[in-house]
Amino acid sequence: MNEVSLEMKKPHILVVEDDAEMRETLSDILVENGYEVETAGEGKEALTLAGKEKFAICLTDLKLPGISGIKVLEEIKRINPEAYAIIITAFASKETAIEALKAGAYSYIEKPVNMEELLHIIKRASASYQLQEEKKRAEEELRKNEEKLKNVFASVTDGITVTDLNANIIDCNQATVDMSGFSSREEILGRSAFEFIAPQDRQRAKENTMKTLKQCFLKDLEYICLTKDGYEFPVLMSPSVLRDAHGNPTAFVAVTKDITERKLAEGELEKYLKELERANRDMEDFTSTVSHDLKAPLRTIQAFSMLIMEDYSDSLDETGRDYLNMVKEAVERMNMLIEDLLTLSRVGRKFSEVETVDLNELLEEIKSDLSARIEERGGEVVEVGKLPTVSTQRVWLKELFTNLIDNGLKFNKTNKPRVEVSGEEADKNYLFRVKDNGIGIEEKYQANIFNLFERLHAQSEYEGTGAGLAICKKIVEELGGAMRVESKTGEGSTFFFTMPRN
Amino acid sequence: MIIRVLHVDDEPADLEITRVFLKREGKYDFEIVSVLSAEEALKRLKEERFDVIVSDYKMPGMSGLELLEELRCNGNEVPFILFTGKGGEVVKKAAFNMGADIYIAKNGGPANQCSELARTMRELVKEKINY
Repeated sequence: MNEVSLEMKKPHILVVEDDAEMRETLSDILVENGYEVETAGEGKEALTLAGKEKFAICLTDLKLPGISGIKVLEEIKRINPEAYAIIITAFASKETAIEALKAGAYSYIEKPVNMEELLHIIKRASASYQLQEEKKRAEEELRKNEEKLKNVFASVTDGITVTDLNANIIDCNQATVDMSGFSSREEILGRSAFEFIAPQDRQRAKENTMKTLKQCFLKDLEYICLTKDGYEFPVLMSPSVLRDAHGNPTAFVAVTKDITERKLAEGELEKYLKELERANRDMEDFTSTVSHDLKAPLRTIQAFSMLIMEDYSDSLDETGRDYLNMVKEAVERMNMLIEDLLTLSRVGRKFSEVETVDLNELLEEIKSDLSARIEERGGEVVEVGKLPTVSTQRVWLKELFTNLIDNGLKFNKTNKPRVEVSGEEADKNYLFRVKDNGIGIEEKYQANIFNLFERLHAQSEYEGTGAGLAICKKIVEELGGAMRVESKTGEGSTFFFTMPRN
Repeated sequence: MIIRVLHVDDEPADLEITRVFLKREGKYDFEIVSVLSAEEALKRLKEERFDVIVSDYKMPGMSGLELLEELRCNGNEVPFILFTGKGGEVVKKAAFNMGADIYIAKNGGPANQCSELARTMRELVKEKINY
């Protein structure tokens, strides 16, 4: 840009004059007036210079030795048609003037040269030349931009369609042609854009056209479109309005994206999700049914062992009564296992309504429920800091905390079992911690403790089914959080779990 | 007063448990007739009079609900208790719609269960007499 304006400040002038004195005078005056000047004493030299450099103005004497002034100006015009030629002539006559103008001269000036007049003519020619150059440059720029735009228009993979205000197509790109199944752009031009929209969406599309006119732009309208052969395909269309300088609407432009593949992918995903949901439901139904079916014969065993124990124990010896006791205990354990299985199958399925739960209150309730165990062990359950109030499914949060606290008290050999509960609000999650001073978990077992029915100790040592932590983990995961443990043998365990805040 | 009970269940052990634990309930004398199918129950009902029917839900052949429907369609209004381990809310609702008087889920220990059954039967029969 700088280069251009520099060139514009100093138009390049070629002075062709055989009279050395005159040549010098003209050159000096022009240089003084800010022009860049080259001189030549005869035609041949002038043409050589014109071949090397581009001159805006050529000031030439008509009468030159060798090649004539007319010839020089003709050649210069051939080399640079935009150049302005001004003829200096001592033989002022209508004929020579007409001849010079015919040959393409811009103007002529008579000898003896009136310098003021000359400068005036040169100034005008120079202004015209600059204007012309500027216009040429602007046109070139415009052409380049148009070319660029045309390339973009042609190469984008989304369809671009321009219509008049009656929605008749006046232009479109190759992507539109490909999408519609027509063989050329010409086949599409002149058709109504609504022809390409499936009948079920046509009315909506017409309404949206009116809306576009009011709002200028609508984004991602979902339509079913039609190909030339009537095949339907889903698209997202974003129409906008083009306006003239006065703000009056002149045309619509719509960008159309074919979303067939996205829809297919979404369909696949939905299918898998449904299958997964069904598999999960089947699994839960299976667990539930099996558990119920297992419970019926168990009740029978329980009832008859009770009857034998109560009504026929006199007929048994000590060993017989021991055996019967073992049956009774096994039945109780089996009952607990089945209950745990049922609980596990209910987590995620029978979630109750979300409610606001003050965890400080919930903890008091749990303490009261566990009071027998706390008293029996002489232990304590302590809140460290204030617990948050959360929106959640109360039943399951209670089950979760109860299990963890009960474990902390149960797997504990100290004289004063202690379980600490704390909770804090992090960025996106609540972070909870249940810490005990119990027996701890050996590192090699830590990875397995969340498995169903995983027990690390003999039933005689610590009662339970080994389902508690599996249930806890499932609850945390159903609530959208994660759970882990840190523990050292003999030093207690800390269970950490998160819960999303929303 | 003797309450005559017709107990229908395809599981002989369940019939026996109920019989024994109801006997233990004492105060009232329950005279219990135990049958292993709904079809057999219908046969007995034609021949004898009962104060209350206690029926399982799921049985091979005619189910407890079908038995209830058959009775009510024929104008038999004898108090009916559906006593089942399988069922849940759907069955419970269907039972009440068809005119069952009480739904008891088989859950928990036999002693408590039969104690609840006995209490319920007494109330039903008392209600019927007062009515």
